[in-house]
Amino acid sequence: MPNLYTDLAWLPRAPADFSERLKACRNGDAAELGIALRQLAGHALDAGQLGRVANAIKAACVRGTPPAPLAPFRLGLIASATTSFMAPAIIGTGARHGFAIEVIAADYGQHIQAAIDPTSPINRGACDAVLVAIDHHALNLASTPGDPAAADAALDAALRQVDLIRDGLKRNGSPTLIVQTVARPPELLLGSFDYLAHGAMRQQIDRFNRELAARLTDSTDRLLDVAGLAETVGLGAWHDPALWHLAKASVAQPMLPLYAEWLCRVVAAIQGKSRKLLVTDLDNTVWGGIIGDDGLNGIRTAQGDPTGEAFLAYQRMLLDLRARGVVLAVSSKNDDATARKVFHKHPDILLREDHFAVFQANWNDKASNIRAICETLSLGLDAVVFVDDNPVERGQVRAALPQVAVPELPADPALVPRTVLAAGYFETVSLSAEDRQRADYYSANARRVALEETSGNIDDYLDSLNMVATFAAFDDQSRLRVTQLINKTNQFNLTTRRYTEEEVAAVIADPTCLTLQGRVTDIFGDNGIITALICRPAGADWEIDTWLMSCRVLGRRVESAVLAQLIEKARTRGIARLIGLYRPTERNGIVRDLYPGLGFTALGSDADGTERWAFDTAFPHAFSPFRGESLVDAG
Amino acid sequence: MLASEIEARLHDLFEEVFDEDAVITPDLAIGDLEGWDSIGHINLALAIERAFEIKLSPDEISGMHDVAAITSVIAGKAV
Repeated sequence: MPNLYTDLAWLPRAPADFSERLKACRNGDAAELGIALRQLAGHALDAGQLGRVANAIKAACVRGTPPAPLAPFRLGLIASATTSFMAPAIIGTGARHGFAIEVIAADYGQHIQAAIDPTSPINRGACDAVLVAIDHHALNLASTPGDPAAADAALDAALRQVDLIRDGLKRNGSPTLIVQTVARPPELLLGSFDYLAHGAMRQQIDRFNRELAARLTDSTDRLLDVAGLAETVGLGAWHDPALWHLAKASVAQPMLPLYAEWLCRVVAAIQGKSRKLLVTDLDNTVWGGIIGDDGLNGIRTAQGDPTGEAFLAYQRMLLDLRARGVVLAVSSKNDDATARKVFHKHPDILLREDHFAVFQANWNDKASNIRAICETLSLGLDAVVFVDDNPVERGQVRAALPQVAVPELPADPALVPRTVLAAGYFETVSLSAEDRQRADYYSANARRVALEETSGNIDDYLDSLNMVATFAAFDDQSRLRVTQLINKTNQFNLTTRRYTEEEVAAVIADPTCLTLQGRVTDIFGDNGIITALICRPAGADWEIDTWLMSCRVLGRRVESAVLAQLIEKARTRGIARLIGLYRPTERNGIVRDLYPGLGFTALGSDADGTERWAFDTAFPHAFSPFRGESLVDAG
Repeated sequence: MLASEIEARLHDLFEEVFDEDAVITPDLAIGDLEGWDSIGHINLALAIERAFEIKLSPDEISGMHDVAAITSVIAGKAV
């Protein structure tokens, strides 16, 4: 039986004909290479197989460009141990997450120099992120039990080493750092007392990790919790002393796929690629049994019954995920009334119908249902996780919708919540108040769609929402949410330029730039910050560097309200023209006609396909934000 | 285990580790394949340990400089 964690048991097993498939990828259509490699990397590959996927990506990069649609990502690697074993696993795993990662590694023993020397390959390499992976060997947190002064000195020196590396990288322009906690070695001198004794190894490394976490809490650097990961799989399995002595590798080889997977999740989260929606089956997934066959009294979802409690634990996991911002939906093969009856009538079920943003109980195939759910919620298929106990349904969805994540599930329902969470689909690098309310927003949005379907006339519908928009410049309170929007928004996004929180802070501090963020409230509640816009000066004009809007408010004419605001600001500052840019991507076709639709005139296209559009701010306009609704300007 | 059996299994192992469909001969040695450098050699040793369910000492690993040496180390350990 595979180990859940080290064998990545939520992923389909590696195909027996892996070598042949890899050859077919290489010899096949070059335009399909990225898709084929991502599909292959979607299996539970071992370190050797990941290395071979890495070779294929590297070869493609050497030949020309990274294999589309994999997104190029340059990762600096500052490691105290040798990086030769980690790098191929990281590159191979990156393909699973949609990246063509290029690793720029510091030479062995050069991790401090590589950080502080402005001419080092990492500092000159324009990295998208730099991983700082310092292990216990390099930190000299030597065990000095009973000598508090020596222990404190050793801790200070270890923290200074990490500070030196972080400061060096920052000073030389590295934008985002990913810093690892330290996995302690399992060898203890004092047994349980190691945790109590000042200066003992277990206590020293625990203090180091807590100090490190405190340093990262208020920074834009991200944490890779290797200590937590190593604990999860067992410290004895994590550390391989023979391999350390032989090759100075700090992670045992069988742990590399899991390590790389955890790292790539953080990279994906930084890039806004975490999943947002969990679509669940009902029969034998939310409860035990089949409601249509077993009836209300026959299904199992009650305390006191071990099987029923296992399903309750799954329901509790869904509620916990929802509370932190994951949107829930149902796709079940059932009669609608039969399925809903459980939520109305069963005394023990924890979930309520309104916890789900969309409830699809019908006899259509599940891939079509998932597509419909995504359309209702304006979410992409790559935001979806689909959980179903039935391997046939899983296989159908995987084949029809390869963008959807579909975890393999164990037969025992007691192990399902652990498996879904081990898959790490909802990795996050920050948590805002808005994250916690997001599921409510989407539930309200689904009700809006329902209302729209019944009311028919779009103007009447928008009127009935009583929308109020509020605009302001970006500030410290909104910076995190604005950064999230900049990195997550794919559809209503004119330029799809991604900025880190630090870069957003720099724009806020720049008096020549204009920033605008807007909130919309309506009868269903506060939608929170739903639009962000950055203008940069270009001669006497403003160039709209970034303009995006959350999918939650698409189709509600918020764009007119934004433009009305922008024109007012531009007139106040004596700006003659607004220059709108449109950079086409696979995802942002929805805004292709935005600028012409708003009355901009075409200036032509750049060599890279970016369209330029101009709007004369002196031109009288009639952008009324919302019919009959007030526009409150807070900025 | 016969040397010929070991060599047959080494072919697949070499492909897994070095990503190359190499012809396995007794005198094929470290440095002969693009990936067979010092790091590749460690990966090869780890793959041999796993595939033949044996444990190799550091001295044995550094002594396995060609296929003939590898075969003889495995033959002495694997059942």
